[in-house]
Amino acid sequence: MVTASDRVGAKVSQPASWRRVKAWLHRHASARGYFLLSPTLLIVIGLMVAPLVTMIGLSFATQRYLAIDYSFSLKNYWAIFEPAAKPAYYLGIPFYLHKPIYVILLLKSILISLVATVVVVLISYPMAYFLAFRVKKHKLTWIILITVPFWTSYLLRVFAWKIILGYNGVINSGLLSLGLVDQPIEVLLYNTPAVIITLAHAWTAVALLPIYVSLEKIDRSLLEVASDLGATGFQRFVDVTLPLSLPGIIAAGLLVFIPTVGDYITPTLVGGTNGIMIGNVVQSLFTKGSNAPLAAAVSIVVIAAITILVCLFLWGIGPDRLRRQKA
Amino acid sequence: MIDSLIDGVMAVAIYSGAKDPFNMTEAEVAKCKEYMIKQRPLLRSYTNDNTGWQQALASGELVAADSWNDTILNLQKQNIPSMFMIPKEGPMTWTCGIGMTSWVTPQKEARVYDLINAYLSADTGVYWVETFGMGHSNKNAYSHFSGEELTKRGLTPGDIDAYIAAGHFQATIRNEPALQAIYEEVKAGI
Repeated sequence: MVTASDRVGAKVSQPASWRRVKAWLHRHASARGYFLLSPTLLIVIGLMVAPLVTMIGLSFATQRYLAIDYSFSLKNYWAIFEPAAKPAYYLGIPFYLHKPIYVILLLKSILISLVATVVVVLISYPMAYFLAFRVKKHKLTWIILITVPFWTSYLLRVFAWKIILGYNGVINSGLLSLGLVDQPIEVLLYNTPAVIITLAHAWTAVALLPIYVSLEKIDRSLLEVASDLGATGFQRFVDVTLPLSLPGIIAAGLLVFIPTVGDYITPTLVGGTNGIMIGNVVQSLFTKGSNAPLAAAVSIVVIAAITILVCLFLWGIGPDRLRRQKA
Repeated sequence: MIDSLIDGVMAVAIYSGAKDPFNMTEAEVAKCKEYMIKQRPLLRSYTNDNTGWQQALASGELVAADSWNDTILNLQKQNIPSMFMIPKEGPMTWTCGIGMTSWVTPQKEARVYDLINAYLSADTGVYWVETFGMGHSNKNAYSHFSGEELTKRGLTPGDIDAYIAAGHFQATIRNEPALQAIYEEVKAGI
């Protein structure tokens, strides 16, 4: 028979191992922190760190037709950077590489993304400015209304541009019906500008929000002071608003630039024969090319190139911003 | 152009005069690449979007496309004048295979044969030729169609063996990864 005192005792007494864990956690503050973070930490490790480590590991393997040889080799990286006596040219730049396709397409992708990022910021900034300074009531409704078109699938948005820019698409049909052209303009689609236009539209909403937040945070009394001191509207914008919203612009730029370098859906759908990017080659190597290790190595090189560029960019703007803040 | 080795590279290999397009020498591969580079400006895109090139043919954006037989049927259904071109080098023909894995138990083997028999039946053949316009392994299927109906689908009526012998029957491509790498370079314009 179990008495009431037995039941109380059972509740109070804990296994010795659990008591030891508790005591250990009590002594180590950092371990307690990690323990509390553990669900998120496990997701980050499982979904971000592990795939990256796997890809780095795979990039040192070798594809032997259908099988993968996992013994360590730098062959894939050598295939990307192997020098050659005869150069291949891109934008007039000589590339003395045996297989220049990877480096040239990486450069091309970076340039496309840079242009797309600049266009995105130029489009997003006025929208964010309007939201932050001109809209006085129902701001949330405005934000929702502006971002509604971006709730649709990324693929559908890219496909929509195919319909807009296409041979018998919206623009060509409009120009034909207005009698401005005799036959549809073919250069609208299937080239690099089409990729840039599509990327710029597809990523506008992503850039809009950080710029809006940085503009919203600006202390309005600073703008009043500038006006009181005789600054024109343009001077006030250039000397006060723009510098104070730079963190938002930088964040937006990075948010757009980093993922667009590796995009392959957009060039596949609207790039045609001239809009191919590095993402298309990686995808092709993983699938039809049956060379996952080389695809992994190309991906690592792309990640490294983006990391270096972003670090250089942040390093370049960092000291300048600090000086401004001190001043 | 269909974004695949068999369409993008092998068709060019046949055009460039390779002795065996599916087993090319290094010199033949180099010549094939030259022809692919020359071909690139004539193309709108390398794609696997069947609907996309059918719409492009319908709108007049494309005047010719490398495609499967169903394209012609779909265009003709829309009353768009179009016809199948059989190149002077002969058509490229192929058969799809069905494989039985080693882990199929004897009890399930009968089901596999049921599936294969269903695939090879004349009824399936008629549906196949009618709907997709592609040839079928069962010769009896063709007797259900007039010569005109077969010609419309790019299938020459008469002796099927002679039709296949006159063209290029697809085989396993030798050194596929290397050819894919060359194809990627051409697609990227390098």
